[in-house]
Amino acid sequence: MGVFTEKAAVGAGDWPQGAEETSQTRRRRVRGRVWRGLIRVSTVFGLLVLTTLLYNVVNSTWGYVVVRDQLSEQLIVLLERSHITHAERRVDALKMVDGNPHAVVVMSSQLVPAVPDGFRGVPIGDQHAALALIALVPEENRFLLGLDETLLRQLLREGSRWSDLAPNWPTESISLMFVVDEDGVLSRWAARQDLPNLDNLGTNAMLAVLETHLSAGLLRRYDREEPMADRSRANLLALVQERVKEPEVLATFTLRDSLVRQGEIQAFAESEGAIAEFRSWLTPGFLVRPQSANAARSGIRTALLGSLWVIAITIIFSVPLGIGAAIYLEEFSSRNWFGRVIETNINNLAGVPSIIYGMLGLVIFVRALTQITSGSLFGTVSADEASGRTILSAGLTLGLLILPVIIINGQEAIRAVPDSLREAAYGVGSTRWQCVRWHVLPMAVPGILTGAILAVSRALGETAPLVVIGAATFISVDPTNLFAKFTVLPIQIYQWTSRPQAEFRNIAAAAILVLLVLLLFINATAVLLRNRAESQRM
Amino acid sequence: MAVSNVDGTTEGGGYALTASNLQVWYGGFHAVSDVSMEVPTHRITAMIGPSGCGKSTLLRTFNRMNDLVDVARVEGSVHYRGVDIYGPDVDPVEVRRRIGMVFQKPNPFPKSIFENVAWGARIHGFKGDMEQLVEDCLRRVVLWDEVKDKLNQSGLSLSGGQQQRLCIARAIAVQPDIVLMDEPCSALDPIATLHIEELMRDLAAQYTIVVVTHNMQQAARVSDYTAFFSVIPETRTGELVEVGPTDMIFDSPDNPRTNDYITGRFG
Ligand SMILES: Nc1ncnc2c1ncn2[C@@H]1O[C@H](COP(=O)(O)OP(=O)(O)O)[C@@H](O)[C@H]1O
Ligand SMILES: [Mg+2]
Repeated sequence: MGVFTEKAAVGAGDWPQGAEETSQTRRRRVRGRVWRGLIRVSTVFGLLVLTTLLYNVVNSTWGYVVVRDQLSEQLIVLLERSHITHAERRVDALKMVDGNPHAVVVMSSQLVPAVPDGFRGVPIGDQHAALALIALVPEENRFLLGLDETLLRQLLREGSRWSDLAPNWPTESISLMFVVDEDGVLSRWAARQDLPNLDNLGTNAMLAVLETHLSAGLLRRYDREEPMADRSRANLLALVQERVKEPEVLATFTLRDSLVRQGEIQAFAESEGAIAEFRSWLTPGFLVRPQSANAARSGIRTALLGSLWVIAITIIFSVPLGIGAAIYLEEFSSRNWFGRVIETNINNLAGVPSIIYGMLGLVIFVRALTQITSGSLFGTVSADEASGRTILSAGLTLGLLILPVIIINGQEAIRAVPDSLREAAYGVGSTRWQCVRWHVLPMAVPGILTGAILAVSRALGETAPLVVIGAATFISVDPTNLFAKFTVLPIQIYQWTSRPQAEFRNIAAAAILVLLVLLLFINATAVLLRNRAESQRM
Repeated sequence: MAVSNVDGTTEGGGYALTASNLQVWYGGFHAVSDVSMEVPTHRITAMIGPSGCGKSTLLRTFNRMNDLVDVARVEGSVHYRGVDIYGPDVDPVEVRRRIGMVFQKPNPFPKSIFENVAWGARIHGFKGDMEQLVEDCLRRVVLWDEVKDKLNQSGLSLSGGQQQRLCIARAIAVQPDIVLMDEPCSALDPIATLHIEELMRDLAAQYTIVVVTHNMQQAARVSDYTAFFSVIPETRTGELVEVGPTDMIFDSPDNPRTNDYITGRFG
């Protein structure tokens, strides 16, 4: 029932009354609620999509990696310290010993003359030169003293506890590996103990390690790149890590798996004789390393620099041009059929697929203007090796791509400036330009900036047109000028995601995060500029 | 209201503006037809008439403000100091410096109070003491005492009435001869309206003022001359019905339509 009794009025029958009014009101409310619900659902849906995206990226950027070193750091150090040389280079079998905290015993067919600090050398069976073994035992591990060949053989074949071998030894289980040559004769046996880190080795030691483990050919190649003796310690260390330790990623796990299936991952690592370590694929090193065929050693420096260069050219080219065109179209050109044709065209251009712009860029910048875009006109490269597939071409192509968007947004912002402001300026005898310069633009700048930044963000994420104009997919040389070959972040990401190895997906995710942060940074700059512009007008 | 010094010469002196056979079109729409009238120097001329009869349109032809409307087309002439402001050699920028304008809705620049007054003078290359000029103009519109301590604050921070006075100060800062006012009080409360009206009387000593108003009491209170406009019902085209000294228009209009409108039987 309607709450208010109707006063008898003329035409009262034309209006819903009583119960009819109540239900009519209720229907209006219901309709409103339905719409509100729909709007809310779409908002939630949008948020969900965004969250899923972020979740996916983050999920792949952090997580466990199961890595197996070809040679453990400890062994590298040990071998270096025990002066075991080329003759014993079949140490690759020793990798099996990784993970034992108790002792290191290396058996070598050579007698080791010098015993490293903290270790006691126990020559065993030195009468059998061919089978001469050496056990390097930390001082604390006294129980290994007195180990002779018989015991050792026994230990290697059947022992599972130290006490199985000698009654006075501890009952701890032996966690070590036995390596038996094909002929059944034990030639090596090793286990590991906490050793100094690889990082603690000096330059000379590092050189020695490299000389021991690297083939002569490889050594010569590195020497040619940069003489070994001149290399820094960090450089040598990196080489040792890469070439001697040679970690191999067996499997990578998502953040979610890393959190909920930690036990399984550890078990898997153990079964593979590998180590599971929690890794962030996004590290400072990832930002500054160049591309590499090995995901773990790959970085995005080249792509990041490429993106920054290209976007800088895009901004320099399209933002002033776009704003200028917007001002001209809004404030100076007259509204005749010609202006309308231009305006319609610009609107249409904004909707043209980006790949078409790529083809346009290919024809204009890469081919027709090769002389300029390759820099051969300015003498940076000789004419016969001139290629227009450069940063300059890319920046200009993306500039063309976002120009219509900047113009349209600029026009929108300028149109939003109330005419009363223009009239005020003209009323005191301002020229058009003075009015635009001092009143319209300051008022429109926030809007113009917003539009321009949105457009630039879009350019930053563009892949297709750059593929068309020929961005490099694998490149490890930093772009240093306008005429350099380049790749950009999205292309790098795309390329990585299409690689079969799982770990490339992880670095792709890390690169996506970098791209997102870059976008965020650009947007934040825009917001700051906009706030400044807004606070300047009173 | 005393009327004097109207000698009817078109060459300066008595008339600040002389409009002859003015016609205005907006595209194909004939907005104002064939208006000829004079605006006497140092007097207040009021333009009254029903809404949509082309008062604003006509006022804007007096300083070529209609140039800014793409579809607007003006025929006829407006002579100012013996020169047709629609003549080929005339730059509208110079016209508008001498014939200023105050708008219906106060529209200060979104800048400081000081800058609101100073900007016009600056773009015209004023070389004198800017602070003195700003102070003089603000005193002239009786705003100085209210704003002298906050000249750096935004012009938009003032009340409506203050804003409109600021706009008048801005208009007179470029030393115009004529100030055109398009319903300057219609967005203001009665007290602010009173202030502006006093100000107009005050300014008339120095400037020629043309004011559009829909308020007949206001026209009667402040103006020396009144022009009454009306629309031709079929075409919606505005036309000048009659113009003359205000007391004559209000007391004994020649045209019965004027009488109808003034006594409230019309529009
Ligand atoms: N910019 C314009 N474009 C088209 N028609 C306009 C424009 N400005 C005013 N008009 C028309 O001109 C006529 C006169 O308007 P106006 O001068 O504002 O009347 P008033 O100020 O007397 O109320 C009206 O019919 C109005 O619709
Ligand atoms: Mg009007």
